[in-house]
Amino acid sequence: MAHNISDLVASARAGDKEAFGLLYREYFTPIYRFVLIKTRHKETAEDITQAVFLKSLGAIDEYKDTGAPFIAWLYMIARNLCLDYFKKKSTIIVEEETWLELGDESFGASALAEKRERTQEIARALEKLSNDQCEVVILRFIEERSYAEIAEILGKSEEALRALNSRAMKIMKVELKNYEV
Amino acid sequence: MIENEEKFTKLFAPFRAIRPRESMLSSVLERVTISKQPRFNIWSYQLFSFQTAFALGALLLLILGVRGYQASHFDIGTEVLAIEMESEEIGGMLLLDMNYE
Repeated sequence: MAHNISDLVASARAGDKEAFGLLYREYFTPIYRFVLIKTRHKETAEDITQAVFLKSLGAIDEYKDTGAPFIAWLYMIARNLCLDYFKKKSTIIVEEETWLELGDESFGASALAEKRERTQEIARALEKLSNDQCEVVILRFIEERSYAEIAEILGKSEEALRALNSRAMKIMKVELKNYEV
Repeated sequence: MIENEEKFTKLFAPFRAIRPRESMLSSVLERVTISKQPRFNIWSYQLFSFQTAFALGALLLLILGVRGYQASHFDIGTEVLAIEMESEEIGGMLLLDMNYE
């Protein structure tokens, strides 16, 4: 990205809508992915992601640059909205694996049909993880973030995250015993 | 450990291809970039207060005006009759005065 994130955040705080638009373009997809994998429901993920950005726009004046990446603040809003969603819903709607069948548009040209089955199996394995373990796995293996960044996002120590990740990997290894992991 | 993490990263590669619908992305972008309004604008608040007060005042005056018009409804026929009766009375009084003299 050509723009400096800190500058964009400062401009957005000063009311520059274009700057906020650029931040939105930059972060919408990872936030959507995070929410989708947690909720396993396309429409809900779309609604929550939209709410994350509308909420962040309304509260950007309150955002304090503590040195943590801006996306950490967005993840925090997303996590809180997901928690609200899980609290309100007595029964969670899970679209039996269809949440991942988003068509070629969602999987990109490189993703092939034969990968789908494997992807669904991984998704099923993700369901076996606790909420914390799932969040660490998403941020570590899907978003490819460092432990230091994840620690800022989730507000946990790096040691705790490594322990969570280790347990998550063990569970997934059992679930995905047919794969070489 | 690192080797395992690398394998997991590869395993999750298809998930990195997940993208939101482009149409949804654009519609939300429009909302976040166009609809931002200051949370509290004193001028909007004052304008709203003035408009509300003006509308209420106009409504009150309208109600009072209608009621006033109905209360003092001017009937030309009755007025002419009253003038005629008054003039007849004055005329009669004049005749009486003249007779005394």
